[in-house]
Amino acid sequence: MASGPAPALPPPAADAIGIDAIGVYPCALTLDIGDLCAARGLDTANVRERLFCDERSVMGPQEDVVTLAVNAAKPMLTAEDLERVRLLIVATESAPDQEKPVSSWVHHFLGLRPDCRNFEVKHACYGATGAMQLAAGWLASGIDPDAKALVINTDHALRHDGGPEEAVLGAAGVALLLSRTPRIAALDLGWHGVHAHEVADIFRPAPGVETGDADESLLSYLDGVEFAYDAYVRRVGQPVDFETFFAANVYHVPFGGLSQRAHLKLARRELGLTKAGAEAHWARRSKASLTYNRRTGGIYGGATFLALAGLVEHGAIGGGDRVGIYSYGSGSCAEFYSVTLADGARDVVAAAGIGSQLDRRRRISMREYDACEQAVQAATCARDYTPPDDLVPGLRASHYDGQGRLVFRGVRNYYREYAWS
Amino acid sequence: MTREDVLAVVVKHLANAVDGLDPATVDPTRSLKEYGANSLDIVEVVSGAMRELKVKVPRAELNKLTNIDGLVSLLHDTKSGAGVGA
Repeated sequence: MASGPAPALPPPAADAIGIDAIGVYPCALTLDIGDLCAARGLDTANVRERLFCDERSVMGPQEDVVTLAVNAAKPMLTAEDLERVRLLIVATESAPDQEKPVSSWVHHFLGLRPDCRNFEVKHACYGATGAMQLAAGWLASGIDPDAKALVINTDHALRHDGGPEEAVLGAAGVALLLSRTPRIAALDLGWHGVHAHEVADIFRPAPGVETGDADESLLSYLDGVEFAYDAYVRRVGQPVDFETFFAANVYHVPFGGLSQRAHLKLARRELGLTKAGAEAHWARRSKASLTYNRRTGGIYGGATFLALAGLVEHGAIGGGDRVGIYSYGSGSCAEFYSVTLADGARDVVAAAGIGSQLDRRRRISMREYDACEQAVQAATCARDYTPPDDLVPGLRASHYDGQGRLVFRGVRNYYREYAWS
Repeated sequence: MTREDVLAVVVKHLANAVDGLDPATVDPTRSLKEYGANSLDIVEVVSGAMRELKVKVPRAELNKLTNIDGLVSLLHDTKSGAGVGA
């Protein structure tokens, strides 16, 4: 296996490529984690204070990964964006079809140009990061100088079975608009470290089934942050002082407690801190990244970018600051890379209204939650299916009617049907 | 590998997870939790020890344990081929 150091690279070019806008759709419904823990006999204090999960986003009966993706991206895109997006990549591990890509529906319902290339990718929680890096490389090539790229992650959990993972999972769509004039963060192009390693930690071997070994995944994630960081440092090709090189850090968020662990791992190793010292360092450098994730639960590949949004909007950072970002996908692939924040990034992220969208979700009871998750299972692989309209009374009127959202109307002879609300 | 060797591995991982722990003072009749390890610490300690020892023990068996001695016995028995899930 080749493992020699990569050649040193010059600093990132002045030509910026990166995240121009972000859009999030955090589902119509939310379950308070206290309600879930009480019903399942789990330790609420541990889930809230150690794992950093307060709520679980839950899809309404008329939502699926297509509607999550479209409803995340649509409010973010201007008429000019729709003209300039020439590449759409949708990352998901929850696709309803093994041949027809989710991106084909998303392309249609967003009204993207017919000459906009689109496809779907899968690599657990890493897919969206890999897609973003490829899209950035395509933009950097200059083949299509005026183009923008759209990368969307859309996923929902399949665990609602009373296991410990149930309390840390959720669902959401997260959309990233990439351009050569990024208003949120420019990628430090070329500064990335990848560590790929085959492991069967968490996987979905059949439709509707999510299984594996959570402890194995935790260790693989934590190994990955060290290997990927070391690879990143080799790519940078100059000394990287963990204390001064980054103003803040984001770590992929299966749940906040693991994200925190990743920072402790690097901070202890790089800075020689005690565990308590590293926890204080994390509170300063990374805790703000969990602002939104703790309200959605694990949303798979979109979680890394939701964490970046939380950090930019609520962290003590600003234009010109470098943020180190760690991504991990089961299976596995890990990547550490960095971005430099644009002036005004906080305002651009704030315009996405993520907090208010989270606030607008309907809080549901355990009975309603169980019914909604059972509806997701009932729709899986169904030849004919009509979403029940009465699981959450009044939801259609309060959340959809007249609000221009895409809704899932069901399946007829395997054909999926959607409509605007 | 002796039982003492397994204990040393477990204590090493515990000391890494908890600040200010003197490995020489660890009493195996006490639990990991009594030394300040929280649930994620315990996962890291147990999983790290299993990885180093190259053994795998089902989570259901681990959930029955009440102290460090029990963990060491389970890991040692598994390593020796006498336990479950080698």
